Order: sequence, then structure tokens, then C-alpha cells
Amino acid sequence: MYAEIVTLAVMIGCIPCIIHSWKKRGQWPTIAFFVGGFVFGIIRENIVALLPTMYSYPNHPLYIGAAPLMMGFGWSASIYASWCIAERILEAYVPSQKDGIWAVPLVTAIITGALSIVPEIPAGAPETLWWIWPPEAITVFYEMPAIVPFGWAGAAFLFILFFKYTFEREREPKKAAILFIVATLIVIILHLVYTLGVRSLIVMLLG
Amino acid sequence: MDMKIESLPIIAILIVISLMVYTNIAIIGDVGRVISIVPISLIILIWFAATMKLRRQEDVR
Repeated sequence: MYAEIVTLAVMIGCIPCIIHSWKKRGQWPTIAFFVGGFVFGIIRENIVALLPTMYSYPNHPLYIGAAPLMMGFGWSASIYASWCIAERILEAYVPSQKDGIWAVPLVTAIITGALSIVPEIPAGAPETLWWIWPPEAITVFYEMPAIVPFGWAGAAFLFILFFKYTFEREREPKKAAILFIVATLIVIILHLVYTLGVRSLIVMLLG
Repeated sequence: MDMKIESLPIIAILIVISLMVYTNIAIIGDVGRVISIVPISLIILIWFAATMKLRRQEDVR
């Protein structure tokens, strides 16, 4: 119910991120990031829909396959905004690491993990049910399972690591953009393996 | 870069926070759920402090 609210939040939130990226990073990095994010969101969530032990998305206004349309924008917007904050914090307080290939994805991951809690808390409430976790999920705060911040953080870490690596290695921006969009398929696989691994660890520790 | 442009990712986060707070209070009716915004709000404060620090450094130069 009320899934239009989260759809609206994500899609409106994506617009300032795209404008910022276009102005700061230029055309091809922006295309790579947000098209890559769209591919990541839609394909990943369609794979998740095939896994019975993961979450499901009922009641959304628009879908591509089994993935709500908003997921094409949600991952990229949240990772992008967190990335900008991470860059600023590192530039101010650890300038030697402001472009660090490991430091930037790591700080982005921590910020994305903190951001994940904001939509996750209303998402699982009985009044909304924007996404539903299976009953065996180990919850830590209202209906939010323990995996959530780690799952979002892992996605941000892998996404930014691959993005930075691609654009640092390939100097031709158009080629780098195409390479990164294709590489998001590897990011999806790595992230799903990571998520299932972390979930097993949580079950072992808290179950 | 222009401060307005620099703030765009923060504006994106604030849009999401506002709509989620609205959902928690007006639809779910549970003010306690608003605690969920505390970690990201603290990070936004750190971003603000970092921005001010970099501005001061630029002014000194």
C-alpha cells in the first residue's frame, strides 16, 4: 500500500543526483553510473524474485518483469548520493585517500548502510508492505532484518569499486562507460553471493 | 563548484528522508520509527562540517 510514496521519493531523488553527476563528472561517467545502476537494480531484483528465501515486492505501480521500476533508480541514487558524501568527508579529513580505490568505496558503503535504514523502516510495516521479507529473516529494528545495512553497504562497495576501477583503467570515457555497464552484471553476481554469505553468518551468530 | 550544485546529493537524501518521515508519522502512525533517520542525519552533519572546512581552506588560499 502507498508504494507510490517510495516510488516518488526514489525517482525525484534521482534527478538531483543525475544533474550533480552531469555537472561534476561529465556525460559518459553519468550515463555509465545511472544506466549501470538501472541495469543493476532491474536485473538484480528479477533474480531475487526467483529466490524463494529472499524478499518480494507486492503492490507497486510499475514493474519491469518482477522488479518494481523504482529499483532501476533506487540503487543508483542512494549509492551516488553516498559516494558524494564519502568523497567530501575524505577530502576534508583524510585528503591522501580522497581518490583511494579502496577508501572511497569503503566509506561510501558505510554511508549507504546508514541510508538504508531510512526507507527500510517504513517499507516493512503492515500499513505499507513495500517489500516483504520471509518470516525466517532475523529482524533487529521494527521489521528490518539484520542483513539490510550490510546488503546495501556491500552493493555500494562493489558498485563504486568497479566504477572507479573501470574509469581509472580505461581512459576513453565512452569505452569505459560501456565496459562498466557490462561489468554491472558481474557486480550483481558478486553481490548476491556476498548477500547470501552474510545472511548465513547472521543466522549463525544471531539465529 | 557552486554550493547549490554541490548540495544536490544532500537534497536527494533530504527528499527521501522527508517522505519516509511522513510515511512513518502520517500513514504508519508510529513516531518512534523516525529514529531511523538518526544515523544518516549525523553523516549529513559531518558532510556539512567537511564542506565548511574545505570552504575555509579555500578562503585562506
